Amino acid sequence: MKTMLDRKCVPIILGILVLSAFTPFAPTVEGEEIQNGGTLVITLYFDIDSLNVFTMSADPSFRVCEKIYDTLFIVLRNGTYHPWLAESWSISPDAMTYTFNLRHGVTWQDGEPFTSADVKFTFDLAKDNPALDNYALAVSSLESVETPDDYMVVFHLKEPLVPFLFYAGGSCPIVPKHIWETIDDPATFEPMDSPEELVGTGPFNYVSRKPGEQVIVEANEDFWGGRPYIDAIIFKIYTNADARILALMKGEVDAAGSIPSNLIGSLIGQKDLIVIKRPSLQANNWMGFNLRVYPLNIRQVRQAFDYAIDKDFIYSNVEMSITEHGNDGCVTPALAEWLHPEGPLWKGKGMSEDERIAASNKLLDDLGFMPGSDGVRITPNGTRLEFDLLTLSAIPDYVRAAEVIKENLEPVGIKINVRSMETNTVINIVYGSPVGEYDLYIMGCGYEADPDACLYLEFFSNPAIPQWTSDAQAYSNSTLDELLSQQRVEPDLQKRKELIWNIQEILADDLPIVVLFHRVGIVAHRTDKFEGWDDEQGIYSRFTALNVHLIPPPQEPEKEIVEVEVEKAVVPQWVYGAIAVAAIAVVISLGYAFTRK
Amino acid sequence: MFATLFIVVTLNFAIPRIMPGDPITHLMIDARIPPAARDALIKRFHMDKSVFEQYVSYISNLLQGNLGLSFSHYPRHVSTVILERFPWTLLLLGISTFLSTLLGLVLGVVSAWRHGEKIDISIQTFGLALWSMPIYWLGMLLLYYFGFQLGLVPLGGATSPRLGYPNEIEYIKDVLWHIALPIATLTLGGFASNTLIMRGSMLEVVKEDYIMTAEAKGLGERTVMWKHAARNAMLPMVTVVALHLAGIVGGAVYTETVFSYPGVGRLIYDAVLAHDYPLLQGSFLIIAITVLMANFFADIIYAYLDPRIKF
Repeated sequence: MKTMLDRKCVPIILGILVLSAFTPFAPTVEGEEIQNGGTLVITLYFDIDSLNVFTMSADPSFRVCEKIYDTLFIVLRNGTYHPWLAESWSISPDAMTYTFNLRHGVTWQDGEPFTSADVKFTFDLAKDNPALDNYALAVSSLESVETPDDYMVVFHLKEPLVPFLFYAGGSCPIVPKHIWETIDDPATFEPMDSPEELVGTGPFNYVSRKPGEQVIVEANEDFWGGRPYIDAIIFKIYTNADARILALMKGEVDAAGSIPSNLIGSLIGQKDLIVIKRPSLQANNWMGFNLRVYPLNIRQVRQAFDYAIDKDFIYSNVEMSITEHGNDGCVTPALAEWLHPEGPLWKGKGMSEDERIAASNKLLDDLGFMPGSDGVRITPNGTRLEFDLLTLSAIPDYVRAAEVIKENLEPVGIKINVRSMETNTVINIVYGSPVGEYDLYIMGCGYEADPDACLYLEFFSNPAIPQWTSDAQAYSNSTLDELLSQQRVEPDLQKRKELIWNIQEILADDLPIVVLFHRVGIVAHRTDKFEGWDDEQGIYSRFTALNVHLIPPPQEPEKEIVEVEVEKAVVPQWVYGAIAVAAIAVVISLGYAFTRK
Repeated sequence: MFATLFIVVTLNFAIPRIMPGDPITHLMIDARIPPAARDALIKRFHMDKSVFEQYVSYISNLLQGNLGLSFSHYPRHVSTVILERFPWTLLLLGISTFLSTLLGLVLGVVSAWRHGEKIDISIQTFGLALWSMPIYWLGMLLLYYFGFQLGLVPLGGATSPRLGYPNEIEYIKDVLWHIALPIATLTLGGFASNTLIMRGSMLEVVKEDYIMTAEAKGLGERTVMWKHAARNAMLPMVTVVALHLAGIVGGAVYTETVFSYPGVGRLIYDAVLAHDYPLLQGSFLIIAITVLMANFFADIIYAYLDPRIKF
């Protein structure tokens, strides 16, 4: 079998597993006892900045910290909550009181028992120190924390806010009271500098760090959920993406993350390797309209854009099918729990190209925007439908997407001038100035996995939140504002979901932005040394860390190995030849010259 | 020298702030910065104070030997962050600068002595070819061939991902094994500039009368070449080496990135991207001081090497 490296048909294994099928404690090999042992080596693309859970900001820090510290529950990749330090929780009907029932028998890594006092302490600490900004969203609406007994925590809010459950339960690691209460200034405390104080309840203990190189954590023998099978995890920093992939192919590391999409080709089809599109947290990439500019403030015009822009083409040809389809409802399809039941929303969904162009043309015709002599439409008051589209020169797929949009809009009589600029310049133009002087722009942003994190921040407009989309685009929609406020106070999960679906419908119809795609992470891991990877939650997840274990050596010699012919296309063979010839030439010429006299 | 230092300190303060954008804007694209936290960050980084107030507190901190807290490695001290990386850069750049200077010197002397002959042309051709290669490309080629294809050296980092070492010797072996390729890259990519300077200087010297005198009194070719000519031609190399010292402290961004080497160059590069003003100020200050010191010592060595120079 020959593996095609054509990037259009890259077969990516989507970790689509049935969610209920996994739990971190289920034995994965029937009847066989899993042996402990082994050191897992996983790459980081960047050094950690700190291990102070309240103030750290580098992405790798979060990946290391979640092995050491626990949250009340874990937010799974599709948006559902998995019990962790808390076994159950409930929201009062007025959405003002949140009760968590904690797990019994949990101890800190130094042997002290974990109780509700630790949870109360953690949130009180963050509440009293505004500088502990990682917890800002959770504590901004927090009134007080009560601990009726050692295993129950009750949060009282100042105002109803359902997303509090997500922020407090899913994104705030709990720290030990007996250690942090002795610290003078928690905002400038660096646990890496005093490892004996780096104590959590998580499955791994912090061991050591070599700056810029690696971080080591080892199995916590007394972890409440049972000791992890592996002895340790080494997070190894590879700043160079090519080296990261070569190290994985060579087996120097067991798993690698942050793989650039243009390098996937060299991993697909390799022996003992699996490449996974890692369902990402909410991450949107969109084209936005400046509603201060006539006629972009007319909804039908924006809809005409939406029909005409070929999102399927952008998905398959610009993004090589390794992102998620753009949902104009602004919730990433990966967040299945919250996605609209119809899937990603797009006016042109299921239509042929001709149908889409016709629909787009009809909208513009109905408005009385007729094509001028050069084919570009002109409004009744004489404005040409010609717009500047700002895009980020640093992000190649934004530039390509902009070119696709320009081409797509030509047949409907809209002329686009693509302006590729430096990232900070675009950010300053779009978000910085009080009166945005632009027409269209392409931008991206990542959010927490609760839909409120994206929808409310970006689109609430009464008043608009400074420097987010409604503010930047002068967008407002009172119906949308009403729904956005309602979903924040709706304690019933199902009812809140329906509100979120409703919001997606409104966004997909009103179109303040056209969502082009949702970026995902790409990771890969080897399959020859360890098994038990949780491909659904990803190589960095606690589920993988707890489940992964050494593959036992085979009892009998392997019978047959299926030969897979793999086309090695990383570097063509002639390059080696060229290098060899050059090296030989150097040796010969130097040798000749030296021996001449 | 103190006036220079003061200007340097002021420029260090000003230049990072002239860059478009600010640390908060940089963090804004980051998912984890909601507006509430944004205000906390502005306060934390003292961005709410006027530039003048920031300058005054920077200078007064500096006088107390305090470089401040890094933004991107908050809440760690700039000095701690730099010192963590410093030994690796010193090792990498120290060895490779020494090797490329030595190689440059020897090849420059040989090249000038055999001026116009085949060896001169081969040295020049291959030296220039290596020099004009982008260093990250040279690094990638070496990494791919020696690291991946032949598997002789690891693919990155300064040490192996392992839990511990049985003894010191194993550790040193591991470090050397990791540093071999980065050193080779920097040496190969850097020696040609030294060769050219040495060659040019030698060509001047060999025309001097005392060389003819030395040859005339029947001294061996080697003695004349090394003892009489090379020694006198070496003077400009002192300046070059002094300038290289800044690089030893400042690190090598591309090479460190290609080999995932935990050096200062990569740190400074990331600090630029993150608009980490205190870290940039701190590292530029250290580089500036090193350059000033190196020039100072170069002047002294000059006087020693060339008795005609008097201060």
